[in-house]
Amino acid sequence: MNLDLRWRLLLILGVTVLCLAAIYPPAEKIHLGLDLKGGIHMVMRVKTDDAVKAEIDLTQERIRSALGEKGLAPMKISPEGLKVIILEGVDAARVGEVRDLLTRQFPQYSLSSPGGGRLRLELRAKEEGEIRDSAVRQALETIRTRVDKFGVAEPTIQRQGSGAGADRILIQLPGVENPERVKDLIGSPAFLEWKLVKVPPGVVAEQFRPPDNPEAIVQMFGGKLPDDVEILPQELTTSDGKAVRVYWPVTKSSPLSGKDLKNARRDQDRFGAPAVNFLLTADAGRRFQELTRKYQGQLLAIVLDKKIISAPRINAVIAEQGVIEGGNFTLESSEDLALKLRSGALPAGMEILEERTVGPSLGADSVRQGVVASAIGAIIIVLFMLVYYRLAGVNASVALALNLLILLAAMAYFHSTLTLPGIAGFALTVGMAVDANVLVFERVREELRHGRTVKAAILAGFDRAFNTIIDSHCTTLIAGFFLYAYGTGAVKGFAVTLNVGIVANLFTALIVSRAIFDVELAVNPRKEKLSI
Amino acid sequence: MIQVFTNVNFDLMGRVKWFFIAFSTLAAGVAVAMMLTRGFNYGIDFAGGTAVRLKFRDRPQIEEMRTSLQQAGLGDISIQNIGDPEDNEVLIRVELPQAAGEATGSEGGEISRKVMESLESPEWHKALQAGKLDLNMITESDLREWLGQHLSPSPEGSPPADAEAVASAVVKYRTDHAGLFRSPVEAASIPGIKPEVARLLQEQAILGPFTVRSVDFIGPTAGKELLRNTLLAVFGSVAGILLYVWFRFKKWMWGLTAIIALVHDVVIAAGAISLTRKEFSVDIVAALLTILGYSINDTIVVFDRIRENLRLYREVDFTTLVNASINQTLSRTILTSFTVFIAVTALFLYGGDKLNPMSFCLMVGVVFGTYSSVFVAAALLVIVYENFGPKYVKG
Repeated sequence: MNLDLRWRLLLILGVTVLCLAAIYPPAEKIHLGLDLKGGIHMVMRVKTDDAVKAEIDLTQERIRSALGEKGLAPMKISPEGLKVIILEGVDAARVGEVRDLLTRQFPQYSLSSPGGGRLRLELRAKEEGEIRDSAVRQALETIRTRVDKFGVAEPTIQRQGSGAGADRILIQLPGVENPERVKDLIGSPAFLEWKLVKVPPGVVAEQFRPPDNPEAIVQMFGGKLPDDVEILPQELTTSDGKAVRVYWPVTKSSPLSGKDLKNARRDQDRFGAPAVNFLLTADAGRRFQELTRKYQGQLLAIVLDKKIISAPRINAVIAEQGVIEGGNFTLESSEDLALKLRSGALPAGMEILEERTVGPSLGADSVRQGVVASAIGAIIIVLFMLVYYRLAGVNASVALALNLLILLAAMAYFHSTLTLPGIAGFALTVGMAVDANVLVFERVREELRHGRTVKAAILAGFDRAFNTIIDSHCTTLIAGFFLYAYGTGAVKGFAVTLNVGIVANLFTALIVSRAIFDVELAVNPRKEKLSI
Repeated sequence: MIQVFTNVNFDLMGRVKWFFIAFSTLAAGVAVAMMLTRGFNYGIDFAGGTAVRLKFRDRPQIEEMRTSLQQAGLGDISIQNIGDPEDNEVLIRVELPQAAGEATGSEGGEISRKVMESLESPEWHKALQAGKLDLNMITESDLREWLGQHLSPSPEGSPPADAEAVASAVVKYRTDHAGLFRSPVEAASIPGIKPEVARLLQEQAILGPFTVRSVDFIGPTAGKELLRNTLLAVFGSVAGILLYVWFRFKKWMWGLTAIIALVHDVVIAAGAISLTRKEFSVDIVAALLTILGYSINDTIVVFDRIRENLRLYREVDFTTLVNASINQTLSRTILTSFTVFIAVTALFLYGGDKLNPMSFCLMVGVVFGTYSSVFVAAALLVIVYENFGPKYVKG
């Protein structure tokens, strides 16, 4: 046996051992995709517009107070489109002063004067990009915290796409049984606010009954809502179990919000019904105290994601601790709300682009069917190769087995998940893996027919088939590459198995299969007949 | 030694090639017409919407289901059986509302809940309210909790059965049996469960008429993006392969004929999907791209041989040489495709309903890929040579 062959055999042995090590133990190393394991797969989009809008709203308030302090307040500050603020009715004599202040205090906006006593502030593109980017990052963090606190094993929570403009979040929760609960848990912004109820003129707070349509409130205010008032809905369940929706007039500004919370946990109200207990930060506690003293006897609405949970009367001065009650809570929903409040609000709304739930039984069936089908295919192919190429068929079968082993090991090594289309990729790999052997063997047969010796025929067979094999593998890889680059989810899994299978095939067909022939030749250098 | 073809010499590049060219043109034309007029049965991957897959204990009454779903105001619904009839599985598809505004964020869940509610029978509902538990729908954690409350120490004073172990055994059994208990007896005879627990389950549990196998919701934007990505992938692959073949065989005409054969294969495979109304999903896209990458292999085998023979026999007539090359490689062209065909046929027959459209598409692609390497790619080369002379085909 020559030295070169020895090295090659050592290489093959090394690869085999490495691969076996990589996939042992298989139950841990081979990651099944959600379509095989069961669970929830979601793609959500962070509505980063919300974050930009929140920034614009905040800036308007800050401009108002900054200019107000200097007695420069314009007549009107209003947004235009998504990222522009328009100041109208600026005192003509003091425009310069206003401009100075705005450029100094709000450098993230570009200032221009379209004329007519108006000033125009536009959020700079760079700042806008940063706001959007940080909204997505914050959402990612928040969702991660919530999922961790909920306790899911091996969750995947990833930002999808590239660059700062990527606003997608991929969430995969294997084995989760109750999709609705989880979806609400990670998808709802949980933006908590306290707002004062602005009862219409001439109505006593206690006697105010919220009407079931928003127009009625506008009527009560005499046809036009005051500037600082908005109407928010509340969902109630009547005693006979019917759902109704009523509307409240509340202040636009919210003196307290979820950011002021130090902690929140599930609790009970006076009647033993589920509720959520909260603790405010020291600073917010002082503000809350002031607020409740000032507005005692009035109604204070607790608003979650722009929906009113309840609007109790302020009976006493409250400081740091309070209870959110009366929101039709169940044990589960009160616990979930507390969890969401603890992990912070999402900076922007979320839109579900894609949601797939696979039950564990379907996943198990898919695995069984996929594996059975691949095994049947593989067995028939191996039998065929053995019958058609006899001893050389053994050679091809060994190469095929090693091909599959390398494929599995590569998947374990790169932490790729095996999906149902991925199993199809395995089956295809089996079919394609022997192709290279067929090309070589046919060529060897042809050379033998031309009267060459066994050794020369094998040499020529591998030599001449080499180009064809490289070419055909390369074209398949080209398509496989595009499949991987533009494929989504489970199809990416298919592309991975297909591509890795093809690369592994180059090794097994050109090196392993060759080495087996060479061993045969080394054992019997004057071999006159080849079983092929 | 078994050999498919030994020293054959079919005259495939003579006049007979025109017959195959005509056949291919016709087949591709029909496929294109099929796609244009009949279109595809787009799955929710592309069309958006909600798909709820349910498995029933008894043969599902599709018409009754349709009526009750329509009464629930779910809009455009389609219901179809999947798998074998005795599997009792149906797929309910609910289209996205026509006036697709901004998704509210919970549409998928909302719709699947509505679907399930409208399929529940009043008796079942009453039983649940009376505190019974539905063994076919309950989650493992809920079952564990329920068992924890209901398992009492047995009269003999032996310790109560372990709620956790029982819940996991019950759910494991259910998972292994397609997610559904068919009869109360079955539910009571789960291996590893003590008789008193089995009695409790038999008394307290009801078996709902169905179980949810999967729920998919795809919003309106995802489909458009998918279509764009699909087209990018297809055109990217075609361009990539064209460049590769051109580069390897030095003549652009070789690349062009190879690509024509390739597009022919993909078009026919896609046409077959349109014709059979099989669901057009991302899996089909994967299959079509695989055909793009794979069906050129046989063309390369033939082209490689032509290139080799061109070097060896400079004075032989091109048509004769191509014909000889095809004949020399005929057995390997057929054998390589045959092994792949076995693999995809096994998937088609035994891979389950999810892999069925994909493997069907691959089967068609593999067959036409083999055929086209000879009767489209090589034949076109010969036609170009016969009509425009050697400058396009010989280096």
